[in-house]
Amino acid sequence: MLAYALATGVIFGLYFALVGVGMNLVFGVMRIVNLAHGDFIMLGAFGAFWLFRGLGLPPPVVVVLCFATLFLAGLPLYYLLVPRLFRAREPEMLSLILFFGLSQVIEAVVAMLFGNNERSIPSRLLGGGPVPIMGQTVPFAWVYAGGVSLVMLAGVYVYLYRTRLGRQTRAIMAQREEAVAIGIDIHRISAIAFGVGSGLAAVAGVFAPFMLGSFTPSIGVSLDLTSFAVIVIGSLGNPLGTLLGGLIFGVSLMLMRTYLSSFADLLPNLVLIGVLLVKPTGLLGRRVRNA
Amino acid sequence: MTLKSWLRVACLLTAASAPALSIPARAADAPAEIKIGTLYAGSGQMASTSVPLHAALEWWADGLNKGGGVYVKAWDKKIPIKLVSYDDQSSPSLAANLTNQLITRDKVDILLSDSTSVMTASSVPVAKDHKMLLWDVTGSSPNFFSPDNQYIVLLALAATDRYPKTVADFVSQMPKLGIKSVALLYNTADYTAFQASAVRKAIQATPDLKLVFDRGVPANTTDYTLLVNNVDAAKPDALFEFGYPANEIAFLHALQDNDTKFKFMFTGYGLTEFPLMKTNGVSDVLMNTYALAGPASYEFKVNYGLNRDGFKEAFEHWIETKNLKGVEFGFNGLAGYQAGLVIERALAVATSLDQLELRRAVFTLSGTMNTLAGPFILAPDGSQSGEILPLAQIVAGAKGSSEPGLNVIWPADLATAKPIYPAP
Repeated sequence: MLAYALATGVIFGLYFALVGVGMNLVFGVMRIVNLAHGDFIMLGAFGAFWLFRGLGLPPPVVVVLCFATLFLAGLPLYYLLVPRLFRAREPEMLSLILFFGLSQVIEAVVAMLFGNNERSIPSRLLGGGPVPIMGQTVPFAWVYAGGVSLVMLAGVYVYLYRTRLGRQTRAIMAQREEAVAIGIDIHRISAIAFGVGSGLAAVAGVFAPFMLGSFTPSIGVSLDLTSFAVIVIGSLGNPLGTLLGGLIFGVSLMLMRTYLSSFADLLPNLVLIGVLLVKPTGLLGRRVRNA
Repeated sequence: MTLKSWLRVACLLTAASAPALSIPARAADAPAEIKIGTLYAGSGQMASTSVPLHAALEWWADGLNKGGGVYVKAWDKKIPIKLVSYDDQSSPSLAANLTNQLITRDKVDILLSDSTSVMTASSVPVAKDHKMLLWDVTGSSPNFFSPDNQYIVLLALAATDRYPKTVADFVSQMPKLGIKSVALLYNTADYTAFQASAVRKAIQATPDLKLVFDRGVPANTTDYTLLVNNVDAAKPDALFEFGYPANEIAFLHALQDNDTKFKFMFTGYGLTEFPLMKTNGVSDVLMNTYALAGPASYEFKVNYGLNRDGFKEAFEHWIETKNLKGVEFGFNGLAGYQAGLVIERALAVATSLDQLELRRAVFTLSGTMNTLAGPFILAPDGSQSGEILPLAQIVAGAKGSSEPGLNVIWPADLATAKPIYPAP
């Protein structure tokens, strides 16, 4: 049971890293907390529900469509909300309130349009049967989701470290004022980062029905909490630290479910408290500061 | 006639005419509406159980209002119903505040709780403090009921420690089928944990049965794959699983995704909200499994209100007419209607809207009213002792029917078939 819990923990860890990476990217670039991130994931789940079950589209197409839709939606949303936040005295604090409000609006609208019932997607729609691991089996959908998460995280790495756009993004993350001074178009880069963060949330949402069992319009808040725990473990503002955070979170969750299932719910809170007490900068916090 | 005689006659006439005069006077004093306050979870974990219940209440109130309202004996007339509803968003703390608001600001005549024990728990102490009778629809936790709290009655579900009575009784028969080891997997919320506890006691009291797996999971668990694998690794002959609809969907998906089957499997909610399971593509997993045959799938003889089929037809029409998203016929809709039935019968008996008089009126129905939820029987503490459900094995439904077939296997006097073990 231990080996199985560890193996499934790694798969879930990759997925949780994908869940959190968009929020961390937005925080890293803009220093704002997007509390509507969980609702973007929920929108991705609804998108997958209709595209898989309604139109029967193949998974890669659904992933691309959902990413593109939320990426494109994120651009105008950025220009509508974020520049105004920057003009405020305390943008970080105000962003909490603003995006919490946006989260409530999205949830309410989706609930009105589609109802509150649980929705789920049979894993078989992703193809494949149960995959043997450590003498037991996991659904093929988990392996698929873990693989796509890894690809998306690799994509974030390439975007940040191998492209001109990424270098500009990292410049803003490291020192915003200096980035302005050397002529980087802050709003253009930030809008793209916001779009990418939203798109990544949508991709996490595509796999949410498979990884989380079922979803409703209200799952956003708990996903925000999960994302927050994951990125605080890795390091706030360091998107790649999210991978480490996700893996630790995923393995811990599966160990809890195996040995202390009644208390599995407490995990995000315990991890948050633990990391904030022991290493408030997150496990990769120092590296970020030195970058 | 002397003045004294005139006065005597006048007094007699006044006394004789008093009752006649008093009825119109009382009718004139009748409130313009009977305010029924209720909470529902429009979003969050409890929405899928709460929204259908609230929809059924609205349907019931609308139906009565079309006929002039509900008959209230206290004023000997029909009075329109006004439903005052607040969305508690599945938040127990918000539910406590809103319950207080319904009592103190809206001054409702009748106070209904939200569905489920999780949400009802917040309203119980508030109602008790305000000496307001809580018409508890499905909050069946035994913790709510005590001899010192007169301000609660349970309407649509047997108290959870009595609810799985048939299952607990059946457990002693399991060794005769060849079952030796049992697993127990349950949601740790009151409703499901109490049921699990009753079954656990029965398993431990049966000498030839061994409990090989016994785990609780948090109420919002929606991924069961790891748990299902762990249960499977314990190699039980039988599995009892208790969860809310969201748990059941995820649990059944996990079985489906892993091709896992148990020789005997009982689910607590799978049959209760069968249409929801069907919408989610997991109803096939329920074939040959066991469940309590709840009123949404089992026809009780009724002496008041619509029977199951009549309600189903009317409620589905209402859902369609009102274009209610995500609402389906199932136990929770039926529970909302059951609450309405008890309210209208009680108002037809109560001589005032005093809260203890309302409680007395509800108790007069105990043992005499049979509705689509089963026989309505109250224990002295206000908990429900009736509405005990038979244990059934789910089998393929009749050709062309959207509903599953049910073989009632316990209690013996109601049984229509023998259990098929191991499940095909």
